[in-house]
Amino acid sequence: VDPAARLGSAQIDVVAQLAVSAILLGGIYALIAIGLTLIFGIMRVVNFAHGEFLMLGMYLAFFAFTLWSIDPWVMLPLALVIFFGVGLLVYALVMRGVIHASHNVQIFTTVGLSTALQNIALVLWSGDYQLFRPWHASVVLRLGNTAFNLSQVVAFGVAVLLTAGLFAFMKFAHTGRVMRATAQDRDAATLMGIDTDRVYRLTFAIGIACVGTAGVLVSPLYAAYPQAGLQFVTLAYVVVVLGGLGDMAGALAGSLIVAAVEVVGSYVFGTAWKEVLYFILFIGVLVFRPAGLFGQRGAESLGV
Amino acid sequence: MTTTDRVAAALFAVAALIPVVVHDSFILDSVILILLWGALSSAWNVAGGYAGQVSLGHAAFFGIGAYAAALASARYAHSPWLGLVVGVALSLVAGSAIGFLSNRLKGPYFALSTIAFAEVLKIVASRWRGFTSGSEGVPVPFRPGFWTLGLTHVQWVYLALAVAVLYYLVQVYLERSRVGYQLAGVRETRTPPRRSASPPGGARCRR
Repeated sequence: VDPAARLGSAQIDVVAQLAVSAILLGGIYALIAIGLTLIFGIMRVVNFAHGEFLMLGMYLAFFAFTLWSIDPWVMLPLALVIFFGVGLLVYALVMRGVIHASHNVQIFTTVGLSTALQNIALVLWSGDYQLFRPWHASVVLRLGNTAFNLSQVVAFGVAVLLTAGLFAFMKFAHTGRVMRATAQDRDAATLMGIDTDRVYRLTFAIGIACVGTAGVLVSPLYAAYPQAGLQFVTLAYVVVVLGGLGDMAGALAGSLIVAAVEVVGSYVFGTAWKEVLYFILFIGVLVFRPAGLFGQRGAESLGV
Repeated sequence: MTTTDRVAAALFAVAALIPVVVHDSFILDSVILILLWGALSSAWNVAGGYAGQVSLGHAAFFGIGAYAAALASARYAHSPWLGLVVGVALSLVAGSAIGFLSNRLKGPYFALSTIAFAEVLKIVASRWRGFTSGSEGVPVPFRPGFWTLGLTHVQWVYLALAVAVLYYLVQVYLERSRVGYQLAGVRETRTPPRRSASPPGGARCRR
């Protein structure tokens, strides 16, 4: 953008557009990050394979659309169920064995899972970029002088609904309270008769359902390829560390901050360098406030 | 000499004999890669194994070394060996800086921070088109000779073997030295003792 064009009367419009874009993007990032932070908060495991489930969600939407012409919006409820099942399966096959192991073993396990899933996708579906355009990806909505695309708006709306639903579930449902109790103190929860293994299984399944559905939501906007998850998951790391690992409300705030940095950064410096900006932010937070911007409960158990 | 040392010596001897017996270039290539990955793993092991700091960003140091050697020969027509020296120096600087910033973190936080540093370097390497040619990469012209690293398969096997043996010896030394015990101290303590023990400097960063 020509610097001169940024001055003058158009400036207000630009700021409005940037704000709207940041909020839309932030909602989607929130849904990705919320699963990661939930899994960490309760299971104390950083799921380094989180992005790969997003990638699987994108492929699910892609194949549903190209093979059976099912719109990604129709796939959403189905994806929730499918990825809940995938979460249960992966928990039973992989995570249950390492839930009580050391952090390093857990890091190796989830990094290994990530590499395995990426390469399975590469073998099955090749490394080509797969992009499809349902009708709503080409519809532009206008509000004042800001413009945005319908897929993006709906993705944002659904992401917000799901996130709000998850918050309500954690706050009011009995199971949600049980999960929060486990997050606060594993041992005490066990002593109170909580089946922590069941809680972990459920937590992992919910986390994977969130990120898998997020994959379906972003599929009209981004191409699917075996490493598609990486760009989002590194961003989700930034989000959860900003908000404090395991802190769900913090993840929401973190999503908006990261989205704002990304949107403003790409406007000012060009899209090529936007990632550097949020990594610098990330490194700054890790170094100066590793427990997150708002502090974090339970951080001391990690020696932070 | 421990049993592990004897097994390692035997394996190194086997690797040294393979080029004498086998001339198939696929197998020789595999041997070169096995030795290189072995050397790489032992470099990683200094931070990941001894100090228990699982780094997911070591690829960045490998990349710095690779770019230094490739650019030295392709862009400046110097010997890649010179690039190797520059690469080690740059990795040391980068490793010390990254280690200084991230070694105060432990467990998942440390792993996350190393990903962040590696990503930053990856982005710089792929966006700094004028210098690194971006994602197209730097094609290194093949010029036969030791000084230009235009080696035959057999020579490569011995070079890789030398690197692997060197790294193994560094490990053996580290394991029994003061630094090695300090690293184990870092691993076994929940809160890092004195930070003098880290960053683990040279061996960790060496390409």
